[in-house]
Amino acid sequence: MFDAFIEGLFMILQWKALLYLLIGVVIGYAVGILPGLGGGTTLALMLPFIYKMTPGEAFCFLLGMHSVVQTAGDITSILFGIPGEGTTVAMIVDGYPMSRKGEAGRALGAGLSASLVGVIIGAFVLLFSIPIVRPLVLSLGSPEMVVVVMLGLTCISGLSGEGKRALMLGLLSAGFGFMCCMIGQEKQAGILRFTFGQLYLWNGLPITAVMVGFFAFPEIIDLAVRGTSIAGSLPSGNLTKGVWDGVKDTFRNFGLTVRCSLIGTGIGILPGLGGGVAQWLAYAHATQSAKTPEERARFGKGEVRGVIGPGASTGKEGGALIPTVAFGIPGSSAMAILMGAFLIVGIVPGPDMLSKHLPLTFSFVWILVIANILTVVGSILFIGHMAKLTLVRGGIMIAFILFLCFIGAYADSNHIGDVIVMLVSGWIGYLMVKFDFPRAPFILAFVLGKQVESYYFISVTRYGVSWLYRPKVIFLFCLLLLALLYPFVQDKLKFRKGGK
Amino acid sequence: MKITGRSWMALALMALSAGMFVNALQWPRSAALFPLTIAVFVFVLAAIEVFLALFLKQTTKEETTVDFKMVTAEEMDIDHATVRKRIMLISLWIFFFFLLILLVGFPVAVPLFFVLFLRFYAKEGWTWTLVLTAVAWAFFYGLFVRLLNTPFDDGWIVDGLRALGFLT
Repeated sequence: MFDAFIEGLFMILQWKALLYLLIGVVIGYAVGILPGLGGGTTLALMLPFIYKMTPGEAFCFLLGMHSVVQTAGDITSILFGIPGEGTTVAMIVDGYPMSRKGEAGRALGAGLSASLVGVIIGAFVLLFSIPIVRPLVLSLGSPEMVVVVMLGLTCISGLSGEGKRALMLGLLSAGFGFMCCMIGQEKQAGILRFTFGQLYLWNGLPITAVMVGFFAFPEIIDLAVRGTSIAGSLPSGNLTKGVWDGVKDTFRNFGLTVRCSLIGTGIGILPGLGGGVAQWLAYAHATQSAKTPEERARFGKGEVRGVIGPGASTGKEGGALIPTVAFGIPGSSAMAILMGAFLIVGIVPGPDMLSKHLPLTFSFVWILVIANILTVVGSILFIGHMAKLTLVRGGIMIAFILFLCFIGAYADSNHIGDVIVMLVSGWIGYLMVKFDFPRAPFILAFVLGKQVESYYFISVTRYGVSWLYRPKVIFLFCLLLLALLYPFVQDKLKFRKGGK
Repeated sequence: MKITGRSWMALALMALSAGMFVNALQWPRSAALFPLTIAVFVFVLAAIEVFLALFLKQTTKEETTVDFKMVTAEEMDIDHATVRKRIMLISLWIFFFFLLILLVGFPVAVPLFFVLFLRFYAKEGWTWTLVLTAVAWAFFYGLFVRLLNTPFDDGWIVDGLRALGFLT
């Protein structure tokens, strides 16, 4: 096994493979930075280029590209408050306020180093966990998946604010997300739901356009109202000062970094949940790390732990490879595309990957680690220049952000309808921010809605009401109940602390 | 009893969920199951929110959500009318960019918008305006037109002229 591990390293140290890895990293970096250009879409666009590559070279190129997308997307989220990737939305919540306070350097240092730690942990979990997770993943059926998603949404709703009222607003937001995801043609009976006679809406609302509008517009309006640069009128020296402080913050909160990496890895393993969920759950866990209500109140206003948590969730990259490689079950849409790459280079994912192609499987671990080391080291070297972007005058910034929003929304499917969806989502996002509806539960519900509907339909059709009595479902419902009760307990705890 | 913006949003969600429920009743069970469940869920929660906001209590400062917070007039030390004016102005510019895209298509709208926006909204000098417009256009053309071969519409004006026979 150790021989295969070393052989995996040598596979990617050959000059051609290394060159493809570098090209992949550069493309992935650019895609991650640009809002709207998704990692999954780019993977699909790059598939035709791998026909003449060996499997080792092909995966250096594709996996190298895919594995750095989230790390680079975090940079856009921190500096501009726009998700560079759909999966880097949670990074905005505390990363962008840090930029506004003139701590962009510290936020980038913390986010990037946490991301590197996350990927390394995820890669090693990939290395050691395949024999352990196999029975677990295969034992989760549709009923359990419905409750897993409900649990995730409840946790995020509960943790996206303080108190019972915030939980209710979060759940309401999630419900609205589910409602929006129902637009389009329904899968089971082919019924058109809320398409208003528009052919464009048959495929549902485009995720990229919705997310870009939802998150960019409130920030654009905020910039316009303030009339200054993102970092206001702070002197430029403040921005780059904190880079190493940010890196140190990650290691000062190493326990949190490791836990969030493991959360990311765990979510990555579960098929269908994806990186967005991983970031939000990691963020939710980071907010729990606050020991006092005062500490908790700092989250959302530029707390470094709110950057470390989502940053470390990149462990999902390693986690998502586990079901893809070992069982041929893609952990995310990007992994589904990567599975297509397996078939193009003549490899069938599954048990063979753990015997015949073991060196190739181990090379994935090395690719994840090396690609992210290259990205993080490169980013930290140029972090000063990147952080200075937050000092660019507001008017210039708005012009470029607006341009990226419009082109990002359009480029996803080359349809003007996407731009309209982006505009409408932008205004809804603005109203939600203005009236204190948390956006995280909406986005999660919107992204997962179609899958939840399928799981729900299968559960009810296959098991009737009895799907609710399955032992694992009952166990998950108990956890769900605890998550619902959390704000009530939180109030009591606060009362006790106040009393003391 | 004060109807706040949040109450209006909750009322809108009640109306949407009620509409969804009524529509879903006409669909086959497979298509209606999830919408019915979600519609009931949203309606009940939105009704509770409206009830709480109207008759019991508004949220306290401690009960706010953890999300991006927009700057307020008080924080900026400016009056509310100025804030409203700035929001209105940027909204009009956003709409103007969209209109330009519809009328002349992306390849022309991008440089045109940059020149007008940077010169008249951002009040940049001509040198910076032209340099930044060139950068944006080079990025747009290099990546989306040349590298990705993204197809862009010509816009309503060119389409109209073509339909009238002025262009081939």
